[in-house]
Amino acid sequence: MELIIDGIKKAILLLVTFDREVLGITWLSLKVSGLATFISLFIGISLGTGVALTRFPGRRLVVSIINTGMGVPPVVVGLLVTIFLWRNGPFGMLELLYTPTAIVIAQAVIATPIVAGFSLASIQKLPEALRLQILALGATRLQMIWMLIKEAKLPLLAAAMAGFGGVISEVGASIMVGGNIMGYTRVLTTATVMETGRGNFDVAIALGVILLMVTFCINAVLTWIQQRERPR
Amino acid sequence: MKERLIAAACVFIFFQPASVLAANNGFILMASTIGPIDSGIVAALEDQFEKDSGIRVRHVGAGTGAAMDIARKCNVDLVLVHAKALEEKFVQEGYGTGRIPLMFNDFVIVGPSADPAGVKGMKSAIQALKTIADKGAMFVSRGDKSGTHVAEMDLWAKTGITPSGPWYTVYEKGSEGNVPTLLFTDQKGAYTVIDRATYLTVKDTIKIAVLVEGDEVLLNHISLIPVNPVKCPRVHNKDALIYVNWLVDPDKGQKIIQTFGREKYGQPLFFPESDAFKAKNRKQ
Repeated sequence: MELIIDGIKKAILLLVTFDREVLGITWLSLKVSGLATFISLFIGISLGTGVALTRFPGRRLVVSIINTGMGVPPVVVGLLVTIFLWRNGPFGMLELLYTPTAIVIAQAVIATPIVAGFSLASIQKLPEALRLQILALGATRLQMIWMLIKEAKLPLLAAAMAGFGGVISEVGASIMVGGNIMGYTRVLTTATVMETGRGNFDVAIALGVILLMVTFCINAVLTWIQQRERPR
Repeated sequence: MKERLIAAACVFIFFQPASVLAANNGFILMASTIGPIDSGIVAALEDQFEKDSGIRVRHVGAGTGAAMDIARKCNVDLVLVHAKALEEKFVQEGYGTGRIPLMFNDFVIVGPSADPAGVKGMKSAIQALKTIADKGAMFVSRGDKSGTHVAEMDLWAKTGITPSGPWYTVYEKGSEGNVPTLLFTDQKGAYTVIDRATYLTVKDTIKIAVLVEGDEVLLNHISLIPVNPVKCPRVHNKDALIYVNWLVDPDKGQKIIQTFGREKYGQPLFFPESDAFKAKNRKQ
């Protein structure tokens, strides 16, 4: 218990003194996970909406795969991305392993099924009649999809939060593909694991507290956007 | 309007890292054993080298075995490791071009200044451990298969004694690291084997002292192995060799090693031992 209080004190100390290393790590975490979430929103919403609005053979299999993807352990993704990116691998010539880009790729792969799964469920849940009505009013197919996405804004923002929460708190893939390199690929979670290993529990707890605060702030903003409208 | 502003801000923030992501070339990657990283010497060497040459070195921390496995996949250009048998195997397999001696640090046997077992000043660490066992003086082991524990077990193996009994205490929180283990040893007024850097870090807060030091078996040799470009065509061998040559240079890397930690601990943590360094000292 004393350890946790020490950790919280340390977290506040690190933040108010603008500790450069900690700020750098926090900023990198935000950028990497933010970018990964952004990419996953593009791919995930397109994929989810596409699958929700079309009927094709093997569709159930695709839905099952997306739903399974929502729960794939990050280390598995990390391992796969590592194998693809290492210098002997198929994308070895890009020399991406142990770079922030590699973490973005891995985190985007982790978040995409989460976003796709949420989008699929929320778009499919919209009443069939709504689609027909929009089309009947003369909308093109693209306009119709845009209307549906706007209609499903609430659950889609939840998808963004779930995706972001999933990747910023993820450690297995980040440590594998990023290598926890100081000042370059060290993010909040990998730094926490490292400090725990060194026995610096107060610093580890402090980093954990900072991670929680950052996640809370981001979610607060997204929730504010989500709940801004008057309740219907 | 507000929505647009928020969206624009998001796009700006999220795509801003593109500047960071673009520049991933022009540096060397090194897999290094954790001890030297934790002491800060790896970063000190890299920073000075970057000032001198403009080449950035980045390191991934891993145990000696794991560091070599990373290198076997051609993912790094250089390894910094400390296990002779594993190193020779790595070179034999063709993954490394050769072992290049860089520096060493050392383990010391510490114990209470009253020295109930009477080992103080012994030249042989093996003899000292035998005496501790014979006298049944309390000895603390980290017991967690870490580098330090493995070094301790190697020493016991050389004594021919399998340490056990009430005097041989395995610290149950040994995996928390060398510092907690040393503090525990101090509380108990016991003996233990610990690396000098850890001892120097906490020496002002403990009463136990260094009793045996300087024996060859207590030395921990750390070497560099460049990854073989024949096995791994994509390694940055040219830049890696520039770094290696800088590290072994008696006036550059070796000089930093010689002085590192002196300010903070009053004595160096690592001792240079490259071939060039030895050659230069022989001449003088």
